[in-house]
Amino acid sequence: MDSQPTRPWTESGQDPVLLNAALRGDTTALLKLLYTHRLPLWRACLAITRHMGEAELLFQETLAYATRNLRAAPASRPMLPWLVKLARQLDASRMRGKPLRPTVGTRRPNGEPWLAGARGAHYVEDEQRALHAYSLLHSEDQWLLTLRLLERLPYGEIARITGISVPRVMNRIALAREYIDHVRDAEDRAA
Amino acid sequence: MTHLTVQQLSASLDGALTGPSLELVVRHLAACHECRDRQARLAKHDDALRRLLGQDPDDLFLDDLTRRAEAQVIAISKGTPPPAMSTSVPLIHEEDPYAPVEPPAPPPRPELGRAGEIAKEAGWGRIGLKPTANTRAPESNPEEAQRLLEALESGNMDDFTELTAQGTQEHASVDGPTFELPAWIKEQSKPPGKKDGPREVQKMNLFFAEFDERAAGLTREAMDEVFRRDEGAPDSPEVPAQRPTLSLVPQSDALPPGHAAYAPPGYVPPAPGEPAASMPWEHGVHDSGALHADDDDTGDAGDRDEHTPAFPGDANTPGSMPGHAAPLAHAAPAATGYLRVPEALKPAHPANTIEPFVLKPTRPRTAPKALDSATILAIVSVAGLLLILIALHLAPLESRPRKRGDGVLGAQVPVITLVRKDTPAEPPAVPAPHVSAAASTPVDEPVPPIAEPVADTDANPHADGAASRPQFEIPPVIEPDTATGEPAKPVTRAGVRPAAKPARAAQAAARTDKPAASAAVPSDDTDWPLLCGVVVDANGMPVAGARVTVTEIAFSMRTDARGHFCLSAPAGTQHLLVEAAGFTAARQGVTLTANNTELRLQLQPAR
Repeated sequence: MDSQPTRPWTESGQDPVLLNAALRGDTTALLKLLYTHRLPLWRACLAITRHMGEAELLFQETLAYATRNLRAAPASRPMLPWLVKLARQLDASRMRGKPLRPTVGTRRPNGEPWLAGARGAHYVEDEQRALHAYSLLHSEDQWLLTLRLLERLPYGEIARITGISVPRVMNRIALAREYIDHVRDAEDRAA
Repeated sequence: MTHLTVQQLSASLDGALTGPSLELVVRHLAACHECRDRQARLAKHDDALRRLLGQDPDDLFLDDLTRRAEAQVIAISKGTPPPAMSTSVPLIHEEDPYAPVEPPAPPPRPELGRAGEIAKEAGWGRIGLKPTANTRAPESNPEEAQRLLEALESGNMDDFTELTAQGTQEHASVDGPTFELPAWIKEQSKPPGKKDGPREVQKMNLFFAEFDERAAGLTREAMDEVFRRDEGAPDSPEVPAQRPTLSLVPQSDALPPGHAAYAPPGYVPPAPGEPAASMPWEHGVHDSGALHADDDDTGDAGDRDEHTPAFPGDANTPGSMPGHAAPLAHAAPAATGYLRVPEALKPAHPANTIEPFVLKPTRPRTAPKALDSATILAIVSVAGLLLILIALHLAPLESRPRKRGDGVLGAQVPVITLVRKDTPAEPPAVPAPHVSAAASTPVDEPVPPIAEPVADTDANPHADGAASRPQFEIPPVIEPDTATGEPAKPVTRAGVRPAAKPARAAQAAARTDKPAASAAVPSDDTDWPLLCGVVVDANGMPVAGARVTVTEIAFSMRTDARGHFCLSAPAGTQHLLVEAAGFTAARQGVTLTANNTELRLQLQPAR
């Protein structure tokens, strides 16, 4: 069994071993699990919240909740999809009853300001409109696009992670892309 | 064209297509720019989302975040109260939307290396960038220089410590002398021998052996103007220094007897009675010793005749000045530069009668360029096309193959044949049921109503005999209404025969395997006689809109509001198919001849 799974979303790697050790009280194994999946978990948190501060908070909340509910973790499956699922559920519960986040924040999702830079103002405008259209998508579609665009997973792996059939994954990703294009086009016409 | 679906475009973006699906998409994208644009838009959105959400943070940030989360995890696993969660940036509700936006920190500059450090120490910064320090030497101070000189004379060396080794080490980073790199590059890029400032050009003197001002038609003012320019300052502001000046010197000043009209520098005049020595350019010799208006080797316009033989037939051709042909021929190569013509000699001057003296700037002499193959091919192609056009234009019309669409400017003119029936008053000598509108009757001219001949040929005194007017062979299916004795109604519509009818007839004959005689292309109008008739129902009422089809030629037309129809078909036995809504279709065979009577077709109601 490889120590570092090349496909952390669908390959278990050492996750079951570390999980069993963590369940027995091995903090080192738990921290190793944390270090193994911190980067894709951070990307998922940033894609869910589209805000750097919110993503930091969600990242910590997810790991804290996972530590408390470690026995509910899948014993023979990879850990990362479960962590990301927790993150999505935590964010949904935290935002329940609250106003939605602004589609386009005052800064970029990574905390940098919206400055045109050398590429021009239209470059920033394109990015803002794309982010706005992405935030208007359904959360499931956002999640599918995140897995496809950010994690670059093939349709088969996305289907295995989300439990949706491959044709449905392909169709929903295509429709999500079309919706983003439609919103962008409508905004361009309005402008 | 059926465009690709968004699923196909999306799948092609994700690389999820294989086999025939991929081939289909690729082929369509190669031919459809709309789908390509749409796919490009989708890819653009993907890239924007990747830039916004998919950038990995740096290790410092990720380590700091992991440390905070680790504290939470350890505290929870040990059962201790976890520390408060913290974020490096404020949350959304804590943000100040009006906070000033600071630009992101620039990325750290890469290491300069040894060469970069040396350049930075020397005050030049990084190569290709603006110098980091002032590289100009301080301004000169004469008073300070005088003081230093006096101190040097007096032996006081306190002010010259910088020249010692210690001083050099202390001021190693002192800016050096000013060194303008662009100016240095520009200076080094100049060709050798190129000098700044106005170039020195050689002054040429032009002598006239015999200058008769009266014969030349010059006025005294013009001559004064000419010689005033020669006597004036050579660097007159009106004469640019870059151009050689043309000085006209009267004969009485410097012209020796028997001298040539124009004596260029270095030219040795022949002795009296001795034939004039030929100059090198007269023999086409490329002599570097030929006269140049610009001898400074600067490579400018004045040097272009260095490799160009002189042409005696230029503006200063022999004979342009009667009596001075040979001297002016010698003067030709000297005029390769710019020669300024005095104001009095310009054509606009009223006293301008000195065309023989006008020296124009000569064109650069270049050898005629050989025609390349592309030019020759283009010329041959154009000539061939012109020959073809001329041949087509001169060819007789009959010899040309007639094709579909062959007409005026390629447009097909439909052949419309108006059919008129013979009037009882003026029966035609020759039965001609069809009259070509293009041949006799203009299209705009209204066709007069045609009196319909009665069905009974015996009642028509002007009708032709039985030989020239054969009778219909009326089949028993639908009897013509001849028994009623009613006079036939006049036909007011002229039959229109479409031009494409023969082709359709030939196609119908080919399909039905009928003899080609009945569907052959008619040679004249008698082969396509006119057949008119009326379609009525069981009560004798006209049936409008009934379709009458000649099955042999697959041609059909509809009856008008009065149930009338009129069509032309190949002579001989034809079969008519009459169809109308609410009626049973009826077939009837008719024999078309040159003179046909009107048919009366009766339809039975549909059961």
